[in-house]
Amino acid sequence: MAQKRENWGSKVGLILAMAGNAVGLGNFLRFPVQASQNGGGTFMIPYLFAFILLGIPMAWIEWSIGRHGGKYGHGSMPGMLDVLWKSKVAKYLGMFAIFTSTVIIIYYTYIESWSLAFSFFSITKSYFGLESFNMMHSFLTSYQGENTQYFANIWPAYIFMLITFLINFFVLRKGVSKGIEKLALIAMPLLFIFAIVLVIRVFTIGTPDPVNHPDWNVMKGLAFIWEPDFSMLGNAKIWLAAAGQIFFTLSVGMGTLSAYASYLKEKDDIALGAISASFLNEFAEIILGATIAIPVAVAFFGITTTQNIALGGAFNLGFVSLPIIFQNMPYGEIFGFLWFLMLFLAGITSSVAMAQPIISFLEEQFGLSKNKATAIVGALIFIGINLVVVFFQYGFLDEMDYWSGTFALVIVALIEVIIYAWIFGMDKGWKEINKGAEIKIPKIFYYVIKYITPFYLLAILISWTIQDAIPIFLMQNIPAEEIPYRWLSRGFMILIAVGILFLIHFAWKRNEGKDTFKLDYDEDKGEIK
Amino acid sequence: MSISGWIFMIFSWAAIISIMVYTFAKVLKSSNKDSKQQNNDDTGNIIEKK
Repeated sequence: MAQKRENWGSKVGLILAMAGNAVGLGNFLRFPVQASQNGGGTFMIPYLFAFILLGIPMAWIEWSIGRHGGKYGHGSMPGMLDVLWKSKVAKYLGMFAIFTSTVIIIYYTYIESWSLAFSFFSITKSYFGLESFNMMHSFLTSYQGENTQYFANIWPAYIFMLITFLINFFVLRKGVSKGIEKLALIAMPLLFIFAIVLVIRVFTIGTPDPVNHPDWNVMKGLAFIWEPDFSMLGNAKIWLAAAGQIFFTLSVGMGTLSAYASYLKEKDDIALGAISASFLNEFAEIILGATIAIPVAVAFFGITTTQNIALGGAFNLGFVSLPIIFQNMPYGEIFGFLWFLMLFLAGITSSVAMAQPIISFLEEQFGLSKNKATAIVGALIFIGINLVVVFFQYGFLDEMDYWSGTFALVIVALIEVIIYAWIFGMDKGWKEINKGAEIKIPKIFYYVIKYITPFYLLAILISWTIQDAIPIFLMQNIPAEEIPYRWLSRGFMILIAVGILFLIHFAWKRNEGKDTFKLDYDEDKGEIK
Repeated sequence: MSISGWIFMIFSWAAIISIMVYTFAKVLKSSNKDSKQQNNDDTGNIIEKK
């Protein structure tokens, strides 16, 4: 018997939810760090190329796979790939998408909770007075449980994690229209307002110390981001870093865009929708994300120190350096509060999306109610987050982040593009993307999707395998005390992957010959019977 | 910032903002059209029932 699937309440709600899915911590933390580490203005050129040749095509593919799968009642990748490719293997390949989103949400929720905690610490001025990098770094690591200098134990971090986890699952339990869409309708406008307020503040900072450092100013910071050095364009590393950033920022390779798109109606536009959501994300990244962290850091610390901060990573920039700046500006507690709350909003609109594929999978393949499916996923994720909190200092999270949040994303995207453009067929795929479209997509994208996007992905996969995956797999340069915990992290991820494979196998056996969703879709009329 | 930096920044910002506003306005317009259609359908149903 066919089950009625939810639909989005409005097109605006859908676009904001999709944009919320894409706009995450990476827009405000990872992007400035990547730009800074890869030549500043030079990075922007390959970044924009990758957006057009990799990002937009992948967004169209994921939206299209999702809407197509949704009409057969599938909200997760195993079912979606199964209807695209009549092969016994297809559904098992869908495991990778559920795996990435499920593992990422486990550690992402914890990082998201730091933003909530630091917004509280900002407004209460808890870290005010800690004006050196070392002190602020100790404050962060103490909060994470690595030392007891500022926090006697891990409980504050645990409580904020618990609050974040409960908010996420409260939203998810409400469902797509009443939960995720409502959250996006509130959180996304707020996020943009907070970010615009921060950008205005950055532009009005000028030169904070004109006597001692007259050349440390916001304009220098903007110049660092936007002045390209054309001689560096031949560096392949910059092109790969830019392509990698496009991946993260648009949330492709996780199956979350497809999961959201599965709730579209058959004739709903995806060509315009994907572009609109992608450009909202780019507005958040290139205009807002690029204008806050790096320019303000250059104004307060100069270019050389800012580059060193960026080398220390995204958390070093967002949770150590910026709080020092907030302490040195009037009403810094308010701007700090806005900055971290903005990160929290960016995080939560993404994390709810990550839980959606596995919840849909359990609902649709095992006939579970929304409440039951959400409770089971919640329990699994809760166990995972506890492991992340307890073993954080031993690299447990880093290991998960690399294999699921970096490497597996490219694998998922490559699987999607090959099945979509080469097995399902680009002719059918092109029709699918253009069905109900309110804009005309230039035909050149037919060839971009078929040839250039897979080539781009293959290049990223090969280079990441050689540069990073092999050394990371062999645990080169990893302190000896971390090795057992990193293996524990790997074991946990393998357990999740095998568990999902088993569930896929069991679900298809269970539904064999049953009156499944597939049978209820009328291909001729293009509607559910 | 050098002239090339300014040109690159202004061109990128203008392109992103104009495409974002254009596509989002198109979505809004289409969303309004859908809700009008929905209202008309609902009114039609009520009249038919009466």
